[in-house]
Amino acid sequence: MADDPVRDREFREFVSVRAPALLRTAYLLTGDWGHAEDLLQTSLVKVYLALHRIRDWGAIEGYVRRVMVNTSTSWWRRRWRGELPTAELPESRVDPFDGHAERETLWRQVLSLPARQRAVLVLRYYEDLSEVDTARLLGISVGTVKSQASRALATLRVRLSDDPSVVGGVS
Amino acid sequence: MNRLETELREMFAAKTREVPAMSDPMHIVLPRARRIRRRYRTGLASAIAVVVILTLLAGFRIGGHFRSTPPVSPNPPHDSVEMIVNDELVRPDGTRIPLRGRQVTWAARVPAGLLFVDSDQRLLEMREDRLIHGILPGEQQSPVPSRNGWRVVTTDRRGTLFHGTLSATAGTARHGAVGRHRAAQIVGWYGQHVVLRDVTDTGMRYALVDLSHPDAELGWAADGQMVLLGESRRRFYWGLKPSADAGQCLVRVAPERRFEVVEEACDLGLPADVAIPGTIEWPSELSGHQVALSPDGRYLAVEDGRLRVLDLDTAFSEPRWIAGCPASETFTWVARDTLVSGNTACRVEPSGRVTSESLPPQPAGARVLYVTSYGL
Repeated sequence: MADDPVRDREFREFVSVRAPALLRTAYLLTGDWGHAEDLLQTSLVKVYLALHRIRDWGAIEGYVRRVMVNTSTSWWRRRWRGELPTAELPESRVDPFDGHAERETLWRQVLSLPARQRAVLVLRYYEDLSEVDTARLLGISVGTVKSQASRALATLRVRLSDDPSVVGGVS
Repeated sequence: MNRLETELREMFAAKTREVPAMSDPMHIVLPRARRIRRRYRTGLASAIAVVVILTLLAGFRIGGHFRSTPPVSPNPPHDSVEMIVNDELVRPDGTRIPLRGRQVTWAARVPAGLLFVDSDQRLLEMREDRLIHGILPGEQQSPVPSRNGWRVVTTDRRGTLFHGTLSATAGTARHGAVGRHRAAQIVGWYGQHVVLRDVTDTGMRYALVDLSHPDAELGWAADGQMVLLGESRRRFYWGLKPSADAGQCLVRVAPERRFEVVEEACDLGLPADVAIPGTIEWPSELSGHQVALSPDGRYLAVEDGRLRVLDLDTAFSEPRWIAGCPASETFTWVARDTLVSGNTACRVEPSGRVTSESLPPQPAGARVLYVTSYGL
């Protein structure tokens, strides 16, 4: 636990600088800004309580991201399956000829993926991490990262090709 | 790179282009971490104490000198109970802070300070024992803080929803108004949305309001009999619905799917006639035994001659009723794990153990209002 005032101060500085970026990642993992804030706070508490175990201070952001992914996965496991969280009300219709609408459709489909697959997509295509770095951050093998990403992309392709609001399909 | 990967990158970038205002997370992280640390240390100390006591007892038994020991209450709940007595705020440590003649009708402790509604029906904020300013009109019903205590929503007399984000450093709250929803009642927060309840001739209906889109038309979903209680800890809503055998079913509801019931449990022994504090008085059958959700959505407390607490984290897999809190006609959740029943504060530990402690007696005729904490 963080009884060290120097580490305490460094952690505060880290949070004040990196919180917005971490919140963005949390939002992509949860699909809701309110829940993203909860996820970020919960993850920061966990890391703060384990600060004394962190040897490499430069890797702290990686620790926080890893805890965020694991926590969001654990939250996802505990809720029921089949939910499709969305910022839009269900009755709001999308215009199939609008690029924004296609983006919203893709977003909804990403949110419907299992949490671990979604996390791999976020780390690969939002954080721009390599497969090796993604594997290291998630604590899984590179092969698992590849298979999770491949499975997620395949699922998205199938669902988007079935979705009438997506013009032209995807490749 | 194929087209889907490019679209993913563009979509992720677009979705995160605008980040909503956020208070400094450390104002939540530090108190939560300290609380966990304190409990860990207290738990460790009490475990050691139990071992020592058991060892001593065993020694006494062997020596033939058994003596009973008082019950151990290592973590008394009173340290989290704050109340307003007449026009004074009484802190858990007994400190009294005068509220200068303001008659408080509602109060909540949040990480930024104390929120309360005075007799002029204004929502006010106090920090470090100093009144800061009025935040929002609080004219129609009790304001509703978010689970982490950094946001608050209320309505004025005309039905306009007002919402504010509390700031830890500045003394002001950013706030905005959202379209009028006359007669609607705030049930609670759901992420960045607010759930509203309305009463029609055929029963209750619900809507999800996106506070960031004030002009969005509300899509009301009607169920009639279902009473929503509040947000769970895991992205859904808890509610009650009459069962076929005249009891109540606990239901798990997806607000974003037009409040569809996704799971229900009807064999939990919930009383048929329940009263939900703060709920519009409809139908009349809803005036019965008090039922209330804890501020973080973990526990459901039910008073039906006895006071029982249901751990909602396991309600559908391994239902567990927790007993041990003294029953009284009314009770109030004052923290995520603590309720006050009669003159006793009662804390429910995650293990299911209950610790309780009597609160200091108040003068006869005193007006006592317990302060509920959020995000602490």
